[in-house]
Amino acid sequence: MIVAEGLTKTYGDIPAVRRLDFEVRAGEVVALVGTSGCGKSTTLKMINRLIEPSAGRILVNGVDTASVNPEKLRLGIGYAIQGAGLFPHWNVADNIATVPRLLGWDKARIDRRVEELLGLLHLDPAIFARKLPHQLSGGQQQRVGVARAIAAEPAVLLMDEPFGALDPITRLRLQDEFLSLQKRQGITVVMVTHDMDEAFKMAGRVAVMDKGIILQFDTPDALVRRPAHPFVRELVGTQDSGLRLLSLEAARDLASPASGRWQIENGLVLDRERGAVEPVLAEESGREAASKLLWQGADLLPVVDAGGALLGEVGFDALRRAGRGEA
Amino acid sequence: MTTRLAGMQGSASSKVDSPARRLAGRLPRLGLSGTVALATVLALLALPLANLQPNRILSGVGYRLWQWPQPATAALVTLVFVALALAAGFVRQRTASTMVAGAGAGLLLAAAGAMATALLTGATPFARVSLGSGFWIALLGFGLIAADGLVKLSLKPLTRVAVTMLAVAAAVAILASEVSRNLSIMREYRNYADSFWAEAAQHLVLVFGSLVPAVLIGIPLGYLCHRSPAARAAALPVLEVVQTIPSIAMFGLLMAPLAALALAFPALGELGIRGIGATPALIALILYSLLPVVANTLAGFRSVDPAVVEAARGMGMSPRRRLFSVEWPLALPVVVTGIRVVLVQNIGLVAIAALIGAGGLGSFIFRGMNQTAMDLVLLGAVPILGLALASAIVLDAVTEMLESRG
Repeated sequence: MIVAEGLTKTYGDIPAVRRLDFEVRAGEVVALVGTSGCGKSTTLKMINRLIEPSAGRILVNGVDTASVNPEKLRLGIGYAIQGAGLFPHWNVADNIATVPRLLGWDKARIDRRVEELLGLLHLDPAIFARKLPHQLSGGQQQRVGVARAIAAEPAVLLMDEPFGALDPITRLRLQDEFLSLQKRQGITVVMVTHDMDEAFKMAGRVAVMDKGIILQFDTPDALVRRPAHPFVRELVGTQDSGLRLLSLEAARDLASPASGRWQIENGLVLDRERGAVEPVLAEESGREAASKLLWQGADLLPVVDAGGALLGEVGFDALRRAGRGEA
Repeated sequence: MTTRLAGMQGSASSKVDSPARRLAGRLPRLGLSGTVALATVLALLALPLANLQPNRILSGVGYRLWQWPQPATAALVTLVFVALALAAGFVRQRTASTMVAGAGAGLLLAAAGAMATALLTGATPFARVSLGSGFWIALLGFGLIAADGLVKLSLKPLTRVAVTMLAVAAAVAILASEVSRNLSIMREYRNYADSFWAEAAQHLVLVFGSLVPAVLIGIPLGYLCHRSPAARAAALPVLEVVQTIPSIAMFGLLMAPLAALALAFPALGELGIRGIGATPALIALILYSLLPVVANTLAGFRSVDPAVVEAARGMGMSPRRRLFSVEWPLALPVVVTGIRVVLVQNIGLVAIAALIGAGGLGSFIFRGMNQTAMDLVLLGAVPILGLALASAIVLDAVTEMLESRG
């Protein structure tokens, strides 16, 4: 989908990005991580030519981006940034309609798309369509920013620390919403972040950058187990690698078949030995399961799906195996 | 001590019914309009509303409100105006007090006219009645209370413009009516009726004739300064130096080169390009106008959030589209603030341009000063003041509408 070949950016004599070669496959989420000044934002902005490469080239769907008019190129690539950057003098609907209008969609189609996107991002069109950006909370602004970025159904979406300016709770909720949206729409995403938790949660593969080069470009699992460079090990963090690995596993996959210990009554999950317990949800990670086990002082908890049906059970044995990477 | 006592015993004072304490309890709550109202009453009682002069130039004898020639009328008008001032200052209902203050200002103007007629009965044909210090201070007092009330009512921008227009229309109607015909300023107006409107029109021609080119040059120049640090470094210091040249000096500086130019090329002279007259005035006014327009355009573009511009670029907007649909609309309120500064500044500066023969309402001011005829000075100064105030109010309203448009 996106191929970079010998991608280089220098400012005067100072290299910002050096001879990068990488490939992003269709439908995957890739995160560029690293400390400030490592070249991750520069790399991202070279994909839609907000920054022109000094050398090398980028192919999107096999087409060299340098051969396309940059404005036309950007119309086909979604772009979401930290703080959303909404146009303050346009209401929510007009902001979302920016690219469809530039593409000359007819009004009925634009209206339908705006309504659909607001729905997808859990913003009631009747309430939000006519509001101005300053009337929205930070999380709502960021939702509109994402809606605007994907309004014209781009195959590729670039995000520059899109959830960076949000409080932790809103950030987690938006990350979840965005992931389910991304899976449904099958968008190819390249995102920049300095938050390793965010990268591990969102991305199928993570490129760790330092001083303008990619040190390792691999799955989160491989980054934890087989760091290729001391800097990667440092960035991933050795103290909590066990928890990191747990966070990569879904409780659904860790669960073993349920024993007869659990009983569901009126939506309440009961442990025959201990009474009511808070079950682990199938989509939650092993890390969240561990937290629930510790918090409730249990050694075994039931796993239920979104509808509340019993799927199995998970305990410290399974988590221990996953945390050591034996799952 | 009294105030502190009153403050501490604020609730007790209503129970202990001593008049002194009640008064003390009220004093701290006098407020702005109350204080102004008391000053207005004082000015009306102590200072002359009108001066009876033996002729146009000699200073005359002041007549206070209560010194009205007919004693019965004197008592009545004194009571009415004291009541109006106190009502304007102390009525709590804001709309009511604002309207009373406005009515007070209008009635004061009418009363001055009526007093002039009364004073001139039986006087010589050369006698004049001019407006006295009491009139001006009381007018200012009523005006302040009304303006304060209008601000606190926080009217919609268009309503504010409408109220301003109404006030101007009312003042003009009173001055044009029979009641004001004996005021000295209106006698001056009748002497100069033909040239008054021509000079007023010339005044506006000079104001807008300099404003429009300044805006047409200044806005692109401001944008250029925004885009290019080199342009900014070159243009802004020059404009700032221009701004510090006193206006009379500037007119003088322009006279010599323009006169030389007209002498060298007689064709230019026939086009009106001469050392004196409208040309040097327009050039000087445009030069003065450039800095506020350029600086505010620059500030307007700089006030646009860089994230918004980056988003526009990232969305695929062309540079032209970005400028016209994002940057310019967001910069506009600040640009209009600059235009407001220029408009108000030029309305005043054009008065001085009369010195180099450019005409305008300033010519009455300088003619009046030469003849020591204060009312002729006022014939020029009062409309200039009114114009400046009205245009400030109108452009403030425009700015506010642009900002609230979001």
